[in-house]
Amino acid sequence: MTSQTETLDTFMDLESAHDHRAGKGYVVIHPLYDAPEAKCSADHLGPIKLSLGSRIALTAVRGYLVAIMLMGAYRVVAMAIARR
Amino acid sequence: MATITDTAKAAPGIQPAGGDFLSRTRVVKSQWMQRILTFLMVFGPGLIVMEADNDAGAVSTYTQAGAQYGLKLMWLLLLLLPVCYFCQEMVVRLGIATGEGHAAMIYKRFGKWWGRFSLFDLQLVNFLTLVTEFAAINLAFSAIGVSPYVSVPLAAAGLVTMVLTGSYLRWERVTIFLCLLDCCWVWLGIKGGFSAHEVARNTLLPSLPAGGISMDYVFLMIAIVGTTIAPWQLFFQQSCIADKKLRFKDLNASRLDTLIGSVFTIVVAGGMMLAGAYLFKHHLPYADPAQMAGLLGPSLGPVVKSAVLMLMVNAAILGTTAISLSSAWAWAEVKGWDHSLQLKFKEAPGFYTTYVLAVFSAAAIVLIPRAPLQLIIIGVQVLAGLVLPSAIVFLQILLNDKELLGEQWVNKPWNNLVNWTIIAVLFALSGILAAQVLLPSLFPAASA
Repeated sequence: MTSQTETLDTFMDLESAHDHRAGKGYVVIHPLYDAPEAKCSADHLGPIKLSLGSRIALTAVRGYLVAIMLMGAYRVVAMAIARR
Repeated sequence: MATITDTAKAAPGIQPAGGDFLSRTRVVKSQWMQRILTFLMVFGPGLIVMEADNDAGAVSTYTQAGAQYGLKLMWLLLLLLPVCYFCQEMVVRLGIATGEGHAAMIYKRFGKWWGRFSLFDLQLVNFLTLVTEFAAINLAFSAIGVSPYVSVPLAAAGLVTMVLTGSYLRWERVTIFLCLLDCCWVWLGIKGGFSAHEVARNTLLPSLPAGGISMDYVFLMIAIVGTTIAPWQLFFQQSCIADKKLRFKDLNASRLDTLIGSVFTIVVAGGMMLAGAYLFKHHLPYADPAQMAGLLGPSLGPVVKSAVLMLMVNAAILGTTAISLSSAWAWAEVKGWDHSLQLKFKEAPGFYTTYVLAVFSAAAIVLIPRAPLQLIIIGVQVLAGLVLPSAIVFLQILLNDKELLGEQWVNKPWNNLVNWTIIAVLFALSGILAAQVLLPSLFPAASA
C-alpha cells in the first residue's frame, strides 16, 4: 500500500486518482519511477556451489581456451619458421 | 536460497517524478489497458539488444551471404531465431531477478579470476568491434564523397551526445527510432525482385548451393551464427534491464519485448541477405556493402544506393552505442562506480568517461593513415566467435544457481536441455572456426 500511496502523490489526473482511491482502476507505473523492490542478492553468498554438469562445463571452457592458445602458439611458430 | 535484500540503491540524482506523457503514472479502467501500457513502458531493451546486433559487421556478413549463395542461407536465419530468444530470455530473467549486470554477477559468483577473464575479453572484443563500426561509417560516407576526417568525428560526437543527456528514456527512444529505421532493409530486399514463394521456400526448407557443401559455405554459416549471437549482448541487456529498474512483474512484458526484438532482427537480416542476393541473381561481383550500393544504384535507382549507404551508417551507430554502453556498464559495475543513464556526467563520471573513451579511441584508430582495418574487421569476427561459448556457459550456470535465484527463477529442465544443446553446438562451431584460422593447413582449398 505504501508504494501506491506514494504513487497517488504523482498523479496529474485528479479524476483518475479519485477512481483509484475508490478502488475502480488499475495503476500503471513506469519502472523508473516505481518504488525499489527487493531483489535476489549474492553479496553475502560467496563462491557458487557448482553441480557436476557445471564443473564439466567450466572444465570444457578451460580446455577449449588452452587448446586455442596452443593452436595459436603453433601457428605463430610455424609462420616464424616458414619466413626463415 | 539467497537472503532477499532491499536494493534501494537509487543512485543519487534519480528523482521519483511522474514522468512525461508516455511514462507518467496513471490509473486506467481495465486490466488489459494496464497490461498494454505496462508493456509499452517496459518495451525497449529487448528490441535494442537484438537490432543493435545488426551492426556494420552483420550488414557485411549477411549481404555477402546473399551475394555468394543467393537465398540458400535464409533457412539458417530462421533456425537462429529461437536460439537468439532463448539466450536473451535467460539474460532477462537474471537481470530482473538480481537487478545487477552480468559482469557483476560473474565476479560475485565465480570469483576474481573468471570475473577478470570475462571482463577482459568483453572489453577487447567490444573495442575491436567499435573500430569496425567506425570503419563502416568511414566507408559509407566516403562512397558519397564525405571525408572520413569529417564523418567519423561527427559520428563520434553524436554518439556521445545521445548518451550524455542524463535521461535513460531519451537515449532509449532515440535508439528505438534508429532500430525501426532498419525496416528499410525489408523494403530493399523486396526491391530485389524475388517472389514471396521463393523466399518462403528457401527460408522454411534448408537447401544446398549448386556446388554442394564447401569449406567456404561452412565458414560463412559459422560467421552468420557468430554475427547473430554476440557476447556483448549478454552483458548489454542485463545491464540495460538493471538500469531501467525492471520489476518481477515486468518479466512477461520483457520476454515479449525480447521475442519481438528477435523476430525483428531476423526479418531485417533477411532483408540484408535479399539485398545481397540481387547481385547473385544478376551475376554481379561483391566486395563490400558500399561497393554493393554502387552496383544496386544503376539497376534499382539512386535512392536505393543512398538507402544502403545510410543504413550502413545507421547499423554502425546502433552497434556503437550498444557496444560502448555494454563496456561502460560492465566496467563500472565491477569497479563499484555509479552507473546509470539517468545520472548526469558529474554524478557518474567514471561510467560516462569509459563510454566516451571507448567511442573516441575507436574513432581515432580509424583515422590513422594505413591502419590495418581489414585485418581488424576479420580478426574481430573470429575473436567474437571464439569468445562466445565461454560467455554463454557462465550465463547457463548462473541460471541454475538455486542458492541465488531460488526455485522460482532458475531454468526448468526443458530450458536446460535446449540451452546445453545450443552451447554444445556453439562450442563445436567455435572449435572449427579456431582450427580454420589457426591451423589452415588442416582444411582443403574451397571448391569452385
